Amino acid sequence: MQNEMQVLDHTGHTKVEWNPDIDAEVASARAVFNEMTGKGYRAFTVDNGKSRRIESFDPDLAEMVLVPHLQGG
Amino acid sequence: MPLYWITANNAATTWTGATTTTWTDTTSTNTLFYVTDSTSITAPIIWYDNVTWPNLQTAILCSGSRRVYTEALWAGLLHQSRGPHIPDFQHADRLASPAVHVPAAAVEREGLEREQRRQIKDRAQAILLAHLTPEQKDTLERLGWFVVEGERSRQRYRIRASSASGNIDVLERDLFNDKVLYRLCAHCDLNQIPLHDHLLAQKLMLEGDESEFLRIANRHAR
Repeated sequence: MQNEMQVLDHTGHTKVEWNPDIDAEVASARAVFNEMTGKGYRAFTVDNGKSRRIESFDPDLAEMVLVPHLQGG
Repeated sequence: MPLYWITANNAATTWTGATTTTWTDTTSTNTLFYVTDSTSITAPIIWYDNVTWPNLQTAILCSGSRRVYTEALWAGLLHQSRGPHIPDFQHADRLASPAVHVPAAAVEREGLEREQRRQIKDRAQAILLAHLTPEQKDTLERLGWFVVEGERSRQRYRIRASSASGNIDVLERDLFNDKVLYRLCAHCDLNQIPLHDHLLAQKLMLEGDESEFLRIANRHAR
């Protein structure tokens, strides 16, 4: 099983994939998650078309999207 | 100064193919032309159906063997012709500036940058579409917007895809009434990510963290 995290960025998005059964891949994905949320990105998980905000990395989630900080305009 | 016109001696059916078109001057001795984004060079006057060219400030013609077109000029062509064919240019034009040669490296760089921008746009568009329902995709394609429902309030928000700024309409709660109550503006850094990423960010926030979005967003009259 391959889970994925999509980080919205200047390239359109960058995809990070990991197998939840492989510790090294999980650690790598967790590091990206922590780095980006540390920069102000917000994380969402998407399931059946419905999104939900998440605060911490969960390697068992099939899909996450990381969104840059939003500001009022 | 020579007089120029542009002939439509092409059978191109796509814009890519149209770049093989040969544009000639009145004496048929030179192959034209260049278009550059440089604003430091005086633009020529070009006529098309007695109307001045729409992108004069960015258009430069010069002699040469390469043909380069800015997106702005192609957009103008597309707008003028409303189809994939280059229109006929029957009116003579006066070249108001000396011929300018655009270095091949600059031409190649511009082409690469244009291709890169297209790929970025495609990637952002793809990820947005992957997160839309069939109904949302349908309205986005046909009407340029899609509606999402607030996570807690069940409020309906219409996200317009024309821009990332001030593009969220707060709709009347009545499902059969699309009256706009007011507008919201909240987005990521406009220089950081492409348009469709902004739209996805707005969607995810409204559906997944509505109260935070409303706290951040500025409210504008409709």
